[in-house]
Amino acid sequence: MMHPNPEEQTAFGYLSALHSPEHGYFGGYLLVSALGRPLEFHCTAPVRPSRAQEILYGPTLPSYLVGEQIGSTLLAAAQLTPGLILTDRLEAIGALQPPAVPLVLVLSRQASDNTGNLHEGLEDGGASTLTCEPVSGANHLWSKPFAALNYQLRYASGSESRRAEIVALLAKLAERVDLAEPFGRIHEAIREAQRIGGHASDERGQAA
Amino acid sequence: MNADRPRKTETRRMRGGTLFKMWQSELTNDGSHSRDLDSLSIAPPVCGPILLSLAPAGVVSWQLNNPRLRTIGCVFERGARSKNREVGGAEPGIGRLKRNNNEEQSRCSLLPAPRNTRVRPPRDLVKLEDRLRLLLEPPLETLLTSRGLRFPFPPFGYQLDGVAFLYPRPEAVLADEMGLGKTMQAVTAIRLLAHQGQLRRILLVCPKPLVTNWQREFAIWAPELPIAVVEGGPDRRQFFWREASQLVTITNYEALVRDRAQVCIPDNHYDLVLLDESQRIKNIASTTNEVVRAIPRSRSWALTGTPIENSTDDLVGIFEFVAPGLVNGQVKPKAIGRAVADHVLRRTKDQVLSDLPPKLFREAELDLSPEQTESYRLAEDEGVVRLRNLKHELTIQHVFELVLRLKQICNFDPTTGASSKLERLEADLAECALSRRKAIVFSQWVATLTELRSRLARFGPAEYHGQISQARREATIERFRDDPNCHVMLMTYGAGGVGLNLQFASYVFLFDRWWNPAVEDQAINRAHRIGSQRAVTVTRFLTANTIEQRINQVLEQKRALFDAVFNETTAPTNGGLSRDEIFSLFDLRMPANTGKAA
Repeated sequence: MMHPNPEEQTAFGYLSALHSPEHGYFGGYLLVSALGRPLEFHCTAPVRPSRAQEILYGPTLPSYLVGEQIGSTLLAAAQLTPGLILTDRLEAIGALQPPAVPLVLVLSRQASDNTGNLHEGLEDGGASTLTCEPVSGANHLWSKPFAALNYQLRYASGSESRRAEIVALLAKLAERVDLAEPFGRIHEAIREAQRIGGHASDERGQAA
Repeated sequence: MNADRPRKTETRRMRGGTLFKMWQSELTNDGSHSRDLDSLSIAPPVCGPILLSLAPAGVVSWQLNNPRLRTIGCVFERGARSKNREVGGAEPGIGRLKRNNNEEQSRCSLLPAPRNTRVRPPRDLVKLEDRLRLLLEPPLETLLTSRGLRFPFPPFGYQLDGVAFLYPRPEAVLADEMGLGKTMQAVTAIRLLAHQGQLRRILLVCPKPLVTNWQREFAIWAPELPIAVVEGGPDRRQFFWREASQLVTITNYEALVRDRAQVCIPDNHYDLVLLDESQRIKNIASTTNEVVRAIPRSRSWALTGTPIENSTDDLVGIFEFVAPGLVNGQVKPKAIGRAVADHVLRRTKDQVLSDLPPKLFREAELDLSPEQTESYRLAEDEGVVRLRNLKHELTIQHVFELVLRLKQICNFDPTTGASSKLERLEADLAECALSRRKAIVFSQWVATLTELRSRLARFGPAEYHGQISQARREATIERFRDDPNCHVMLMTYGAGGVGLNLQFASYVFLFDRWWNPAVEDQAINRAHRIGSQRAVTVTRFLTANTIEQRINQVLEQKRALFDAVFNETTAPTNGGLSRDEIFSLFDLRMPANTGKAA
């Protein structure tokens, strides 16, 4: 018998960002159902700090840009409220302060350290100059890594009391979805939006 | 300026989504949005300026302005339903499908290897929201498992790539080499789209002998999809066309042409028209081509292992159905290859089936027997003299008649029945029978096969050709497969060339050569396909210093043409068998008033 589709009432948020030396940071936020199917997507224009900001924010600048600027903007833009948000960016911790929705950092399958080297093994293919390099500065705001569902995971400090809830939600999602797979979709979509948006910008520039 | 035009068009077409809402918002400090539908372009990089001020006491203070960060976004239909709490199990279209029973489900297996097969948007899909919708789809494996769609056998990775190719494309040609499972890929893509409610009415057109095969494939790979086969007499067919409400309607090319009045009418719209063995419409001037182009449809898919049989015009004929106007035969093969690149998926066994047993070729170049040599020389000399005497009345039919006559002598001497090919074949078959292997012998003539049948009786030959009724053909295949005393199947290229699965045969003999290599390849691939357990040895008979050798040179040119379009290698610009080439087989010159191209 054909299985009826499971209810898709719990949405899961995926928050990620890519960095381009030329343009700055691009953010993307994808909400998926428990079956991994897209419900909503938002991405940002690139964010590039000024030289003065680089000096003033120092090593905390990426956390400020990815978390407080890009992350919080994307979460505010979304119409759906997820039960859980997953990110592959250490700096995204600032997106939810205080964390109303549990925020989970997905480390690679291989990585087991707690140094913030998040992206080994995560697919981030393509010839684009956009990269997903990790930065330091927000490490202490995450819990220690724990292994679950084939991944090393961390949750935002302060969510310890919700660990059981977090793991239950992750387990529900992992029944059908590789936990890290949607990040690749976000990266591709950001690149696509940048590619097409770039063409439009070129056109406008030439017309002017 | 010219270079700018496509971009302007692209921008205009990007505005205003139909499938889901898209907006661009500028988020202000307090989190409120302002919507702006004017542009989807990515803005210049932004970050807040730093404001410096000098306080009265002389203290310099600073304040960072939060930036106004632009976003683009979209809410999918599914997301909108979720927001309104209208989510549920069934999607549009699924209610029309039959349900598998529990037993069936339990016998099936889910997808095999952990693999993420991504669906990529076609190149000519220009709306950003449509491209994002496809890019953000989960991998094919997740799409399938999320709907509980199971497979009886684990598909190969390249087959899932083929499904991912078809899935987003309204215009597609799946041109995999024979034996790679084009049928399964098409059925699975149909299945997925049907379960998503994107396909509700599908017309599948195939050669008549393959109708049963398609029914069987649907039963294996998509047993829940309801199917109707349009067949029988005119009244019965008319009833089918009028009343059939099944998701998939299967018919054959001949019936379709006969029933064009029922099919090609505006209110008879199909979500998908799928042509199997689409080389059948290669002739753009043919009635079949005209009829398939006239069917109202949203998606046009074509399956063929031989998109080019003779010349690039064949591909043009197929594309006039798939994507009218995309290609024309006037441009060079490489340019055609570039034009169709995003619409055609072509893989060969060598590329994707590293574990398939090898296909070994043997060129059996034989001398004619003395009797054949004498008959051949006599026929050729007399024939050429006769052709020359025809002068301006000479037509291509006259030349063809001589070619066929000489080829027949290369098979058997008409007076004595002597045959160097048969002697070699008997020896090979004896070895084949000793090792308990099966062999297929192809010829273009039933008469040749009939002669072989009587002379190869000790090998228990089975026959499969145009004089064997459809009803007997299935039994013939079963006998060839199951009877240990039946070591050889005698087949014509026409009857046995397509759609048959004979992977239990280890030897293929091409007793005479067909006019183009694609048909030969199809014949060979009856045996060399998925499921083959042993290497397949192909023996191509060729008699030295005869018309067969000259034809073989033309065949090699045609292979080069195919490579030029699909493999981006250099090749002659036209490898087709022109009338000039046919006449030149006998050092004849074409009369001035005759046209081009065979």
